[in-house]
Amino acid sequence: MSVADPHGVLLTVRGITKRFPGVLALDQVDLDLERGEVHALVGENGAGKSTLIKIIGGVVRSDEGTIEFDGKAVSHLDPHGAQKLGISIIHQECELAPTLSVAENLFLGRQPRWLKWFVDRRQLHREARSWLDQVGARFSTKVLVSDLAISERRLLELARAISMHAKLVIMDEPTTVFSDEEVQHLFRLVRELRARGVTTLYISHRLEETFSIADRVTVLRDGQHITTCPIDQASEDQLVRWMVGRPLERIFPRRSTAPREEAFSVSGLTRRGVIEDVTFSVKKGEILGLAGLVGAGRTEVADAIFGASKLDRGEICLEGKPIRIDAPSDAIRHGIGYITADRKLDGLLLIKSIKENISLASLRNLSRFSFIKWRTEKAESRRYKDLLQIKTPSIQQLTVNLSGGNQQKVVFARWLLVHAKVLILDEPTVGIDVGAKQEIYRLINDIAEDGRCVIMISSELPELLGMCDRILVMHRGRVTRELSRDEATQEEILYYSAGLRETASKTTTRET
Amino acid sequence: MQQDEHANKLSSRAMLLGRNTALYMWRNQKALLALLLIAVVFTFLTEHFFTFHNLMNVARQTSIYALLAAGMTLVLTLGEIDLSVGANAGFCGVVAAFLLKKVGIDVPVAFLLVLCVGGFVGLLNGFLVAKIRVPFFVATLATMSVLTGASFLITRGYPISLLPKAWRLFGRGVLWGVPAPVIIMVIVFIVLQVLQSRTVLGREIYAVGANARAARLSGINTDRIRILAYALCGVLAGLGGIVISSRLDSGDPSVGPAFLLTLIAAPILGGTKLSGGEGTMVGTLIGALVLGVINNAMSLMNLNTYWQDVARGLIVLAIVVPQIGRRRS
Repeated sequence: MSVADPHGVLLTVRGITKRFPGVLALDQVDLDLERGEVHALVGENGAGKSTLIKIIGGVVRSDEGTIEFDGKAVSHLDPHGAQKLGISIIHQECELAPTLSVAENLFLGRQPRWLKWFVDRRQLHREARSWLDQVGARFSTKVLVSDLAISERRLLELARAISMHAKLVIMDEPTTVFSDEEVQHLFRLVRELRARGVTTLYISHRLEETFSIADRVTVLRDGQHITTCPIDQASEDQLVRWMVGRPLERIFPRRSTAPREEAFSVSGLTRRGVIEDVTFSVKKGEILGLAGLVGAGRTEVADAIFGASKLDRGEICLEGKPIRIDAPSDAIRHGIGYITADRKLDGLLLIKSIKENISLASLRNLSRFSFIKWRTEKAESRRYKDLLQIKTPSIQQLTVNLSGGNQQKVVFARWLLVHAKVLILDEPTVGIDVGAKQEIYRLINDIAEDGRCVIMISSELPELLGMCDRILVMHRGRVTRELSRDEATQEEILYYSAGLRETASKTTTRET
Repeated sequence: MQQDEHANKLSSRAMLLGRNTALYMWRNQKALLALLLIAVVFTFLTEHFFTFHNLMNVARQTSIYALLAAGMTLVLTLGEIDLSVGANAGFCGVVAAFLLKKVGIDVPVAFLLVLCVGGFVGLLNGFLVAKIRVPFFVATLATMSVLTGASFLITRGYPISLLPKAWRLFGRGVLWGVPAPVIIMVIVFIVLQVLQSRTVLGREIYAVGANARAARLSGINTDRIRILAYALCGVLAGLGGIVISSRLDSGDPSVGPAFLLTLIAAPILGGTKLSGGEGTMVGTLIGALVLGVINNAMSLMNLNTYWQDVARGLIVLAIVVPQIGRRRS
């Protein structure tokens, strides 16, 4: 169709400017994407990445600037028009219909027809199968999307993009919920796309991903285009400096104190079909890591300890005494806190103020005769706001207006205010930009140094390796290996998470 | 989008002022402005609007709706709707008349019993919704049907009239020229506003409405909160039923269910969000007054009651539609 040069430029963006009330989101940004390249777009939260891709995808209209796609000037695009042109966005938050089947989602709005009005189901599933096979997805075309794991949903979205013959696939943080193995699979797919001449615009917070997948990288900072260069001409440090505009100190701060006596332990935790005989203990001042693939049962262990889901069997001990936990309120009463992976879904009251979010788990302690002592509440919230350096003009600010990092600090403040002795963190730095991540790491260290037990679940191996004193690796609901700080390496963890080395575990996980 | 930003800015600026009644008025400025504007217009349009007698009349007519809308606000704050509030009030009025007239129970005892009946119905709603996990729409719609039918069964279709004189106090009593229902309304709203903004229960209702999962994971017994909110809503329906039966001097099975639209419209007009987590009692009171003034004005202008229904429906749409647009962006 297009007469454009097969190796030339696919997308040209010139002088894009976008103002939101009070904010200049994008300021004269240029971007060129070549055919068949993998182009990484990096920058801190609020740098303007999302706005830029929304403009390219026709979701948001720019105030100034021009876009040329496939040799034609395009203006006033809407999302549907962009898809027709061959621009597919795989959004950060999945945009699939959960109650429809995989095949129906794949062909949403363009199902193969029979007699114009009826859907040709047989062809629908046949075609769906072939697209799914192309992305290496093994799930059935007939299952409902709501039954898919999040990583599987991403694959489905990718299949949809390919099936629409996209020339440009934009991936916005596709790997936030992926385990390393799944990331590798995604990368293979991206490379296949590249071989076919499809361009990928790849947005990620994980810099090491950028280095392993991208051909070129563009850095945005505060809505401005900082640089674009081939990836092999940039170092990780250099990239971080461009992103933050200042050099970062060591990413993982060291702690000065060593773990003390054992304070929290679980034994034989079992929830049929989900977790199997999980046993471990944590010392005061220790950070224990839980590694494993998505679906290995790590979050389920956290849920079970916290009373958010029922256990079939198992014992939980705090400071040597067995405790009974039937509901989150029991866990909180015993001094256990839980920061979930999805702070927007089950962590924050987004439409409520910072103050109300911080005090949420401590209302009983902040009240007298069930009247809230509002002066105390205000003072305590303000104290933790200052302590954690939550950037906001006021504790009355709605949490929805905060950046990811500051939102996460609000959740931390909630659990610090209840003086949690044991803190479970599930993916504590998901969707948080580099600078704020550091602050979160420092915060976690401070919490541990304070003599509390920290259990940290993460899919980012460098994070686990940098932060934890010990790492438990889980596979299919079981703890398959315990690694000390010195023996833990990325390779070792990957082997055990993938279940490639299982036999060795049985003897080593059970401590005496 | 821009409007949204603006609203955000306004609300955050207002939040800085601290939580007090003036602040709520400010946040609900649109409703308040509407109220004043409508009042001014009608003062000029009709000669009888701006008289003490008529204003008290408006307040008294509003008070019944306001009492029920207050209960509804609690449930709306959860992000749910109790469709049975009006029917519950009607049912409670009938039960009151039945107890007083057919059973011959004393006025104070009947008063308490009716509050309990209303509360029990609410408790049942809450139990169905929170424990059995029946969708609120289905549960309260079913309760509404049961209550409406039961009201007619109890009265055999005719109002039970001529209640004891003492019962008239709640609906017809007057203190210093102020009708008793208005006094009841003011007291109830003060109590509920304090409950909402100052107590743990109030805060927990907001939390459950804003994000039930987060609330549960922060140790809040979300089932208990939901049941309590429905139960309180039921008690207020009971109180509403008492005032209605006292005002009408009869237990009339046909009143009640028709209130529904007004009961949802008043809180929404006052800033309560259907999606839950937001809303204030003061806002609901203003919303109820706006609707009350409109009703009164339409009557003063001799508008046919069927047209009044049409107008009410359109007004509610005019209020709700902008909210939906805002949520989408």
